[in-house]
Amino acid sequence: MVQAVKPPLADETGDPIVEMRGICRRFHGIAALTDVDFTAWPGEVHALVGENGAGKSTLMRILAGADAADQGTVICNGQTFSRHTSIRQHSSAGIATIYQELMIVDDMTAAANVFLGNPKTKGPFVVLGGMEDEFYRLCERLGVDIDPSSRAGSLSIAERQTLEIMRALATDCRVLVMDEPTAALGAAERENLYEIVGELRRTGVAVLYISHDLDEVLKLSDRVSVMRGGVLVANAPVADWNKRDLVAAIAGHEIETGKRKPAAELADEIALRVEGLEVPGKVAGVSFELRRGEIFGIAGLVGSGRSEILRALAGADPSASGSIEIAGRRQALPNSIRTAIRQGIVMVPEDRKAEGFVPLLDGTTNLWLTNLSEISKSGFVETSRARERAMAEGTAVGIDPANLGKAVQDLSGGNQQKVVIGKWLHMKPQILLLDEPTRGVDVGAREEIYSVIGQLVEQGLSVVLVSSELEEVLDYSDTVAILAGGQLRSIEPVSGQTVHDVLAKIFKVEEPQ
Amino acid sequence: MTGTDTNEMTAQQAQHGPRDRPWLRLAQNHAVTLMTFALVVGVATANPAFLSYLNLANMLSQWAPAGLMAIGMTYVVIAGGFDLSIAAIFSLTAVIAAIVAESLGAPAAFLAALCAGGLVGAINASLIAKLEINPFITTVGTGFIVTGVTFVVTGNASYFVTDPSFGVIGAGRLSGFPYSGMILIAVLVISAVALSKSVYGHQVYAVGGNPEASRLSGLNVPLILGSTYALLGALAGLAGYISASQLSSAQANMDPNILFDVLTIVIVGGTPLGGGIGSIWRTVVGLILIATISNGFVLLDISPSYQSIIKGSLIVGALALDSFLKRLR
Repeated sequence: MVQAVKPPLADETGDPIVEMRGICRRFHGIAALTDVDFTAWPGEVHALVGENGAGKSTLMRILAGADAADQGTVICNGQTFSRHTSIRQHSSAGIATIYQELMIVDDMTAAANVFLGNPKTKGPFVVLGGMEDEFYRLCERLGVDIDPSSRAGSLSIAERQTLEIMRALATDCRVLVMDEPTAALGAAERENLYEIVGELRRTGVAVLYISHDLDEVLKLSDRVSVMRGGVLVANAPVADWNKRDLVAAIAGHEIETGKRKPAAELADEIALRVEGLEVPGKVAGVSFELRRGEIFGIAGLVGSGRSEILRALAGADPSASGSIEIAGRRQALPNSIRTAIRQGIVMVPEDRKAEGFVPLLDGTTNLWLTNLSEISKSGFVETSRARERAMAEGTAVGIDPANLGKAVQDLSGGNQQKVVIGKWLHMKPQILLLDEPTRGVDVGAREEIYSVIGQLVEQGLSVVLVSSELEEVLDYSDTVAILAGGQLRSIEPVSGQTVHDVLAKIFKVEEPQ
Repeated sequence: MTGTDTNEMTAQQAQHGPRDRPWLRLAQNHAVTLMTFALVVGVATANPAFLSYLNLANMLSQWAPAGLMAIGMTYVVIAGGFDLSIAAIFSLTAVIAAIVAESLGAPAAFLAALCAGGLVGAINASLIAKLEINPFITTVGTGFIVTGVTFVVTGNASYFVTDPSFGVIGAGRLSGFPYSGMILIAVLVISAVALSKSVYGHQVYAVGGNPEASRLSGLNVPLILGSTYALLGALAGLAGYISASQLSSAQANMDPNILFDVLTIVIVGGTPLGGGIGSIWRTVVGLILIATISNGFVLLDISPSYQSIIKGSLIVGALALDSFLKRLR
């Protein structure tokens, strides 16, 4: 856990390391940032929160020199940057960024990745020994253990992320921007990252931390800035914030957060019985029952086999075996997506961007991709009917009709996810498999998504929910199953369980006996 | 995003959006079209014969084979594929058409060319879409095989067809309008409508735009991707027949440069490699651009040595202009 006692906040009367004043930026005439002032001091963890599209990433891209402001000044480490600067100039001033999409060359070694673009050389030759020494020094500083000669592609996401932090430190970075660094990490890996951030902070690095996980923000940071609609609406030391205030500031109005009330009594009718589900090397003999109108949450670490179970049930993994029983009828595991759809099972996949939607197609087409024949006649799509029906179906999942005509890649994370969920809901599925449904989704959209699902569950939809955020699993499920090493360790009603209980169960089974 | 946010954005867009600098938007979206138009006007001014009925009819007939293959290639590229074997299919089917025409007559030759092309396309399809071999390597390989087979079959000899009915589709005209041009226009219209309006067309865009998301949405990705290769193969067969019919002869090495013409037409027109984007009308623009350049050389009597310099510069120039305009803001 993160240390509760932090050293006193950096002296704000001292010189700030980053000063951004009056930053404005428009894209195609739409204001992305309006008159933003942002200041950060050395040795502070400064969290930046807000809905997707609030302008956090744009602001940080301008700071990193990856984008230029239309107006305003950027001062970092005493250097003032004009409009026409490059990432290279900004990085020589000590600014480094770790994006969500990691900039790692998979086929190079760990050490070569750390010194990418900045290798230790002697004349025209690369000095491998010198790089390894420096690599070990950086490992020691961060308290991690990575083999410098291992192939980067073989490392875990967390380790690859650590390589990027090491790369930043190797270039003597003073300001480190981290864009949702924990989004793809499991619980244990997150704790490791928090320690690394703490270490950076102690050595005087200003860490600018973008995150949607408000618990994490409150635990980790010294100062929190909130952005909304391209404006920096609030900025205060972390002591002045609580979760409720943060949510209100992000949304601009009070949102009732979380906690669906678990069904008092589950229906007797079993919607899906899974027996002996096996995925070679990933899942071993998983069996469970999903009742009609139940949300069945699966809690487990990344790599525990969560996604594999969902993929097998959705017919996306032909190597899986086992049997299922739907409405009393025993049948083989679906061997294709189409078979699963016929059985009434559909899945919202884990990686929205890679698996969820076709980025260049508009919302309407993406919505109907699952069933184009529904809006076509003798092989031709009836455009106006597609649009009208999409409006009706889209509104039901909270998609603004104005967004249906846009390419889905241009929508915010929350709206993208509504499209991905919506493209299944009009098929009237019996069983909905949700894999990380709110990753990269802002607070408001998340509430909307769960309120829609909550209504459908009351009408008899059954849901299997997987999320890395244990709070989310506990807040919305009726039943929680603990998954570790590809096996279900327990299945219990959610009521009374806390995050701590669940974490304890997950980690207990991982310890050697 | 809440409703108010969106309304705010549309309001701002209305104030500062496309209405801001409409000419820039137009130029950004249609750079190659504008350049093609300028070139057409330029060539027509320099030599008014360019726009004569006879010259246009000749151009249509001359570019029908490349145009037909460019249509198929547009489908393949939008679906995320690539095909380097079409020049080989083109020669093979031309030779098959000539041989079959001598023994069984023109209609059988037409059918044979179409089927042979479709068959090679289907082989490409199963290798690329089903076994998931890289399309670049696969089609280079099948291209070699097909070329080799064609040489073996012909023994490197030319085949001449004496039956006059064989020449009708390639060289025949109705009131001066070539049948081959009619076929090209008909296939263009049908394929454009099918690509933009049909269920199949939507699936082609989806598969090219994100194959994994398409698969998880229940689409039969190998079938949809594969069908575009088969379609391209069949169109290459049609092109092979037309070309053999135009010349009343065929040999193993019909026109090796036609591959580059086809790829240039598709890509310069604005259907980029990578999949998910593109359209038939963009390919039409590419076809007009390339045909105008080639025809302009003849009409303006430019020496062949300069032709390739100018052609290359115009192609690179069109793409550079397009890229430059897209960066402006």
